[in-house]
Amino acid sequence: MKRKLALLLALVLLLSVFTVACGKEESTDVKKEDGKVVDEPKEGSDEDIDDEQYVTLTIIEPQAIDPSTSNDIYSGDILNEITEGLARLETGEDGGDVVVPAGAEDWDVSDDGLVWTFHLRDYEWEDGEPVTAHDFEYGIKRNINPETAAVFAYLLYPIENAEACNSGEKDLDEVGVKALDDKTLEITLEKPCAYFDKLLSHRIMYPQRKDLVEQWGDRTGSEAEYTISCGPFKLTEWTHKSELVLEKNENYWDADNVKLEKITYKVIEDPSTAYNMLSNGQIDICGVSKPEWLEKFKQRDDLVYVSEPQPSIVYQFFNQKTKLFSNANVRKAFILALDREELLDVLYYGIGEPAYGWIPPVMKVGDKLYRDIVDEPLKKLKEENLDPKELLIKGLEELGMDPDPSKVTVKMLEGGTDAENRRFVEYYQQIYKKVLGINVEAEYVDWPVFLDRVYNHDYEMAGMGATADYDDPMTFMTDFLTEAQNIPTGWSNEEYDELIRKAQTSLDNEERLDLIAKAEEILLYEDAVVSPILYRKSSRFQYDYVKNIIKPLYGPGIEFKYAYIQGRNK
Amino acid sequence: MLKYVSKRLLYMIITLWVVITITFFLMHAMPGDPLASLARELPPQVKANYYAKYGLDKSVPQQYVLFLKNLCRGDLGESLKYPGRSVTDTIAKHAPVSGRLGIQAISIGVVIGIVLGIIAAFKRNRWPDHLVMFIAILGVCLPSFVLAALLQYVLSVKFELFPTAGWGTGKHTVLPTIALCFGSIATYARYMRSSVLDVINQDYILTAKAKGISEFNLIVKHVIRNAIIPAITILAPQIANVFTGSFVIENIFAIPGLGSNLVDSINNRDFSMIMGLTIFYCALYIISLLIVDILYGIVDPRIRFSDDVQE
Repeated sequence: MKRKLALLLALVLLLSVFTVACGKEESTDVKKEDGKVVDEPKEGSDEDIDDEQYVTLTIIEPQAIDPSTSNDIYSGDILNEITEGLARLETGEDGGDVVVPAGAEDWDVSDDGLVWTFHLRDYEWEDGEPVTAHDFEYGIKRNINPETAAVFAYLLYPIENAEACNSGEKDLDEVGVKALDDKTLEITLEKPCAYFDKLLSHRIMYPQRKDLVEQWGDRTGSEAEYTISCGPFKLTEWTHKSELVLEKNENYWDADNVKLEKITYKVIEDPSTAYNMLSNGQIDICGVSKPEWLEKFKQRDDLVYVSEPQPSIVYQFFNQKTKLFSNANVRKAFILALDREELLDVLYYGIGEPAYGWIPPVMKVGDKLYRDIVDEPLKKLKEENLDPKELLIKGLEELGMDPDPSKVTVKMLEGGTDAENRRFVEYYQQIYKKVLGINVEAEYVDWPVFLDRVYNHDYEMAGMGATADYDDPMTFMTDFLTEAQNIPTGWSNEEYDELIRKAQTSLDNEERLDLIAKAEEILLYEDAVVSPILYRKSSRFQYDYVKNIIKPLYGPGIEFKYAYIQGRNK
Repeated sequence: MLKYVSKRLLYMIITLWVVITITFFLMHAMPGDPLASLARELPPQVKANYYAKYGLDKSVPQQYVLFLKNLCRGDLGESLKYPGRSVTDTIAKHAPVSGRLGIQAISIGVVIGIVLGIIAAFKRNRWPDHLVMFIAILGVCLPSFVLAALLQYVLSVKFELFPTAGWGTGKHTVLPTIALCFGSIATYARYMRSSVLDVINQDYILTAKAKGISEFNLIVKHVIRNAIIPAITILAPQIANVFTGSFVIENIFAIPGLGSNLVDSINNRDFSMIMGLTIFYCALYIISLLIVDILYGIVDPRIRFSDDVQE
C-alpha cells in the first residue's frame, strides 16, 4: 500500500514539474518604452492593415452609459467612444493634450471671454437623425437640472446661472446655454474661465437626445438598447458584469478614419485573471502593476510596454486640528522624512515619478507646461533643512511638548485592509521610526469608513490620491480653498484663497501662472499642508500589432478612434 | 403536513422581517454612502441633489417605512451604484448564472462525494479508503481560490484547453465548476463514509445480509437511505449558496453571478442593492431549510411532521 501511495505522490510531483517545464521559452530581450508615444504614426494605409480589425481588452463594469447619471471612469471611456462632443482630446507633439474641434467645426469667444459661440458640423446620430445645437443645450441643461442629480454638475458652474439653477434658485431657462439655430450653440459664462475649452470634451458637455431620454426614462444608459451613438463606435451588446461590445458606427462623420470594426471589453476585476488572459493572447491590451508580471511581460518580444505620465498625484495629509500637526515644523519634518526615490522603488515598483510639488509635470497653464517654469517647492525646503528630526524637535518645543521624539505616537489611518495596505503602512512606520524616531500606529479601515473618518477630521495622518478633472492646475489648487476642504486638513489661509480666486477669473495666463506658483509655495514650502509622494504613471502592455492608440491625459482612458491592427497573425 | 408547512411559512415571514429590519438599520449605521467611492468632497448642492433623488435626505425611520411600503408592492428599488438598473432585474439576471454554476458544482460534488464515501466505508483501511481520505483532506485544506488559480494557469494558460475567464458557453463553466465542487466532494465523502460505517454495523444490515441480499441491493435499499441524512443536513446552506454565488470564484473567472454583486454592493454602500440581495439570500436560506426538513421525512419515514416537532 505504502508503495502505491508513494507512486501516486511521485506522479503528482512529476505532473507539476512537467507543467512548469512546458512554459513558453521567453526571450531575454527587455523592451521598455518609458515615455509617451510608442505606436506607429497615425496614418496607416488601408492596404497594410489586417483584414480583421478587432481588439479585446478589460474593463470594470461601467455604471451607466449616460453622461448625466454616471460618474466613473469606465462609463467615461465608453461614452467617449460612442459620442462626439463639441471637441475631442488628442495627444499633441509635446505629449500633452490638444483640444481638437469635433462636433463643433470651430468656435468664437467674445473679447471678455464670456460668450462662446460654437458652429456645429453636419453629423448624425446612429439612427440617422441630425445632431443639433438643441441636443447640446438639452444635455447641458439636463446635467444642471437638480432632479437629474448629476455628480459632475459642478464642472458646469462657470456657465451663467448654472450654480443657481443647480440649487433650484433659478429656472432652467435662465441658464446661459442656448441653441441659436440647429447648428449654432451659444454658451454664456458667469465669469471668465481660462480652462473652459478643456471642458468641451468632458461627458458633462455631451449632446443628448431629448426624445429618447424621455422615452427611456430611468433606464437611459442602463442597457445597450437604451444608448445611442453619434461617435466613432456604437454600443451593440452589454452583458452586465461580463462584456461590452462596440462596433464601428458607419454613420459617423469621420468613419473613413475609423479602422477598427469591433472593440470587446471584458469585465475582469481580478488582476491575475487579466494578466493570464494577456499572456495567452485572449486580450490585446492590459494595465499591469504587479512587479512579477511586469518583469515577465517585459521579456516578451511580442508585447510593448507603455508607461505614460498622468495628471495624478499620491499624497499624505495631516489633520491640523490635532495638536501635533497644528505646527508647521512638525509637518515639514514628516514631509522631509521620506526619501521619495526609494519609496517609489519599494512601494510602487518604480512606476511613477517622485513628487516635490503639488502640480504634476504634465499639467499646463495655457499652452505651457507649468512644471517647466515653476520649480518644485519641496526641493527648496529639502535643501534648507537637511535634518528632519531637528525640525520635529523644534516643532515639539514650539508646541510645549516633550521634545523627545520617541515619546511621540502618531496614528496613521489606512483606507483598506488587505496585504497591500499593510505593506504600505509598515514601510511608513519603519521610515518614520528610522528618520524621526517616532512611533506610528496603524489603523486599517474599509474605504467608505476611511472617507467618512477623514472628512469628519477623525484622523491624525492619512494618504490618498487625486486625479485632475481638466488640464489646468486649478483642478488641484481649488481643493485647498477654505470653503472646499476637499483634502480635509482643517487648514485655511486667506492669502492662498485670495490668490486662487484671482487666478480663477483671470484670462492672462502669465498672471495666472504667477498666482498659482505663489499659492503652491504657501501650500508646500511655507505652511507644509500636504506631503506629495509621487506623480502617477500608467503602466500597460499591448501586443505589437495594436497600433495608434491614443491615451489623452484627461477624461477617457484609452481611445480607439484612430487605432488599427497590423500583423496579428504574422 | 399542510398545517406544518403553513406554520413554517408564517415563521419564515417573521424571520425575514426581523432580518430586513436589522440589516436596514445596521446598513445605515455604517459610515459612508454611495458617493464615497468618488473620494472627493462634492459641493454641498451636488450632494443635496443626489440625496434628494434617492430619498437619502429623509430620516432613517422614514426611509425604513418607505422601504417596507415599496417592498409590499414588490418594488426593491433601483441600484444607487448602477443608475437605471432595478434590484429585481439584477437578481433575475445574475442569480441564474450563479445558480447554474452552483447546481453543476453541487450535483457533481454530491454524487461523487457520496460514491467515494461509500467506497471508502466498504473498503475501510484499504487503499481506496486511504485515497478517498487523501482527496478529502486535500479538498478541505485547499482553498477553492487556490485550486481555481491553479486550474486557470494549467488548463487555460499553459494548455489552452478552456477559456481563462468569461461566461457564455458550456466550456466557460468547466474550470469554475471543478474549483467549486472539489470542496463539496471532500465534505460529502467524509460525511458519507462515517455515516455508512455507522449504518453497516447495525443489526438490520446483518439481518439483510443473512437473508442473502445482493451487495448492490444492500447498498441502495438499506445503506444509502439510512446513511444519507447527515449529508442532506449540510445540503441546506449549500442550496442557498448556489444562487448567491461564490464571490471569489466568480471574481477569478469573471462570471457575472450574484456573488460579485453582493460584495460590490456592500463596498459601494449601494443601499437598495444590499437590501434586495439580503432579502433574496435570506428567503432562499429559510426556504432551503424547509425543503430539507421535508426531505428528511421523505428519506426517513421515522421522521414525521407534527404541530411542534419536525426533527
